[in-house]
Amino acid sequence: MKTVRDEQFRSYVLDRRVELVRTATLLTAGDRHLAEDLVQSTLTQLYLAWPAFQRARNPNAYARRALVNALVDEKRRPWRREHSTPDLPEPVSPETGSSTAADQLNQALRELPPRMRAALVLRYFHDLSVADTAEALGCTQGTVKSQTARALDRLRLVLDCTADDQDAPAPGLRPTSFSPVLPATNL
Amino acid sequence: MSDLRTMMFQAAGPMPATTDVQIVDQDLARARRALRHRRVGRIGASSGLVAVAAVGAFAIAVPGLLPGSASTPSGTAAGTSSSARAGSSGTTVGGTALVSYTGKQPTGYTLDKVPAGWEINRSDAGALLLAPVGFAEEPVDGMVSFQGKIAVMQEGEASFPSGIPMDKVQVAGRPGVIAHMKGGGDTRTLFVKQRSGDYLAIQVWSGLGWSNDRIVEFAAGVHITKSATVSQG
Repeated sequence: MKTVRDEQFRSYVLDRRVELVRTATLLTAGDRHLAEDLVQSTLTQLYLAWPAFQRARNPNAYARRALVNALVDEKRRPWRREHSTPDLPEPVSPETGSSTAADQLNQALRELPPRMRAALVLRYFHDLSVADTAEALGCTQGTVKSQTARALDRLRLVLDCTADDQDAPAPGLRPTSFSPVLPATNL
Repeated sequence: MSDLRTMMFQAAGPMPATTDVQIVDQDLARARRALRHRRVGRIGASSGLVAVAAVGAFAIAVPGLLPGSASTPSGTAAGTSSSARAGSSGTTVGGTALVSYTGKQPTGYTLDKVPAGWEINRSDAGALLLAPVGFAEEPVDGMVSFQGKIAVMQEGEASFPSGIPMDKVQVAGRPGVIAHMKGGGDTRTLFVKQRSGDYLAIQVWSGLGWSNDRIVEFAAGVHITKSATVSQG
């Protein structure tokens, strides 16, 4: 017998699952198996806490925080399986395709600690403000700024980013030069 | 850094217009099961019956978890009997004995000792797995399970855990910690910092009955070679 909670949950999952999986894919640096595990775990947690989730001032922020918590929690669990180790990606050149660039980004993200990776994903994939990112991560705005700055420095080293430095947002500020063709995201 | 956002949108994977209804139903079924489980757990905890029953069943199914037991997970060749690739001279204090390793050395690492009755299950530059002789399994989706095994890897700083109990140890003069992993029974992972800044990480699955000293003794005989690669994540 389906309950009101069940119907609301189904509706939420239908509406938001794709974005949760995409976010989790970035949070796990391209590990799609782990991303799916995290999304399943997060959705179960949301269902268990459904009344609180429904009352949340910002349900999307609540869900993002649950997803990040699931990621951090994963680091405290035993490895249960071995991931096949792909060859290191070739360096990105202007002629290379997007999949190679994505692979190299994942390689760079993989070298960041989980919460630093999460700060980057929330700021630049979800376009969250420093304050909203801090709320999602359960930390101070100063921590978000320092984590984001360090993450960008480390990414620049790995990616050898060709972007003009002036295009790079100062740590802690909202990026201003987004491509207009990119879809707006709101988990 | 607008390139970063573009790359993130590509790296996030496909964006299908709809979600498969079957997957949604599975999410709902899983969530409902978790809710039922939690409610039953609460009722059991209040009566004290479920907790006692669960402990008893676990101890019977996994005898190696009992304190002082030298047993290994079910299906293992336990004790001091050597596998085809292992020598003798082991001791049994603190769980399954360690014996000299005399077989072919794996990729990425060299071994001085292995648990008696165990062998190299699989190895490549990214990971070395040890398991009881004849441990049979089929990879699922290209993944090989670590459960019931010892896993040796070289891990980056990002993999170092936090927020869980850790015991400080010394491995061949190098500082390390043994982390008690969450939700894995007695599964522990030893992290020993290397000169490169990475960690030698050895996960010992629950059931081997090893003391921390035995884990350290095993780790002292594990050496990383140049062909080993670092796992990050």
